[in-house]
Amino acid sequence: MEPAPIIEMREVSKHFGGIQALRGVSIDLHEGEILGIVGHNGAGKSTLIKILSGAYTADSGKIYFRGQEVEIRTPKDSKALGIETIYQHLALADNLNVPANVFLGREIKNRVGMLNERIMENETRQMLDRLKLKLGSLKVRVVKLSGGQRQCIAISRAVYFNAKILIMDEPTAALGVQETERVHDLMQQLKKEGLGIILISHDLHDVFKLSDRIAVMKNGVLVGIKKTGETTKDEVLSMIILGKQDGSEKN
Amino acid sequence: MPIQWIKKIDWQKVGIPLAFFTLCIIFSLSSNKFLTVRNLTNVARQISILAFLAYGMTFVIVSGGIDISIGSAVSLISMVTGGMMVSRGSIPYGIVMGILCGTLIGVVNGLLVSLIQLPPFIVTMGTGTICAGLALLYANGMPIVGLPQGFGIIGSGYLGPIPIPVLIAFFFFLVSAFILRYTAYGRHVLAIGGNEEAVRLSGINTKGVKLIAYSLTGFLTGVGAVVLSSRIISGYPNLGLGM
Repeated sequence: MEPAPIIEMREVSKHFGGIQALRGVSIDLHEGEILGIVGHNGAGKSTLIKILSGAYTADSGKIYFRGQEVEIRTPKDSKALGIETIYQHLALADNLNVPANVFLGREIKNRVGMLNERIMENETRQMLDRLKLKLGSLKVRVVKLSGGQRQCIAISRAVYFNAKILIMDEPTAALGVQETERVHDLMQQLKKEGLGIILISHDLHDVFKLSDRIAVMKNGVLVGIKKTGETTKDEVLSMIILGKQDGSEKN
Repeated sequence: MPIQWIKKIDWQKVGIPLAFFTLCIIFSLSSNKFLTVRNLTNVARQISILAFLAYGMTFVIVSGGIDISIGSAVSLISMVTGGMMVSRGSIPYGIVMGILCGTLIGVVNGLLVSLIQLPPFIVTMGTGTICAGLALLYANGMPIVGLPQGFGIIGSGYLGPIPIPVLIAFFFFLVSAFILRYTAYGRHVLAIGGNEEAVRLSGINTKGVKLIAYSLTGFLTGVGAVVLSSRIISGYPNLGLGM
């Protein structure tokens, strides 16, 4: 008997002006599972996860957390549920340094209310070491760092705050081979620890390597969800392109 | 070889102080009265008022906004300060009402920018125009005189050798610098200027942060206007002209 999902979205729709970005999408995620979401640009993948992360609010539909209906109206609501998000464009404040970005919105203060920069820097350094991500001085403004380094910061930020659910939108897009491997190892490790992970990626190879299930989206609609072991890259590819499944039942 | 050295200078940090020192050198060479205590004290007094208007503006500008209503706000605040002081015959009352008026203008600017999401330039141009008009309407374009003479000490007085406005400016310098550098709020203001969406996604109430920034500007504009009015011991409907 499959355990209940930690997150469930039912019939979620979202439009932006005249554009219907999501049409009645229902999807769920279990603890200890990696769910891959694939599809063309404009399929609605980022929009869907942004509703979970609180960046957008759905026009209609419901979200359930551990079976309880919840409302996610702001990014704060989402984080309160233990959902941490790594956005495609990283969402870093360019003019702040590394620890400032990692702790943005969750700054560590001393008793007087002043920022405790020393602790934040140490914690950041420890997290980066733990993830074996290489970064030189942490005191540089992140705008000066490479795309890969910025991605490492975004990942550290998400992992540091003890997420129960991790959403990763193209997390290794700017990373080199070794760093990508490390992120993949990290994802497997977090999965073993019981996190539910949503992975959006254009790289079908990565998706097949990491995901337990794969959801395909096209034009705001969920085309279908397949267990990774029960499908092939070709089948998924044809679902992405054609926007429909070959007669098999929706999961 | 000199070119290498020039490239290594962070002109963003060095440029303005360098220009300042150059000007000082030019002025002290062109007039033997420049480097006198009397002159420097005078200059310090005049500049200090502009200084703490600038401290308030820093929050707004650093967050990526702008406030061009300050000059006109000073005029209106001056009239309110003078008018209230005369009507109640009380210096503290006039000062409090003036600063309140400034803060209120800041809050209005902040609400229009953060909640209604109008462009700051347009908003503050509008509120500025309204303030300028109200300042003239207040007493039919006439200055308000007959304020208690004791009021003048704020703008023209000294504490020891230091003009009082300079002390006030120094105090607000410390407070503003502390907020920006050492508090989470200050960091959020800076971050919004870098990437407002990133800050919003971090769970920070960006609307609240911006509202407070504009309100702080309004508050400090109020203080500035009060000190300026104190120098002329009157409410002047064009006091902020050219600011």
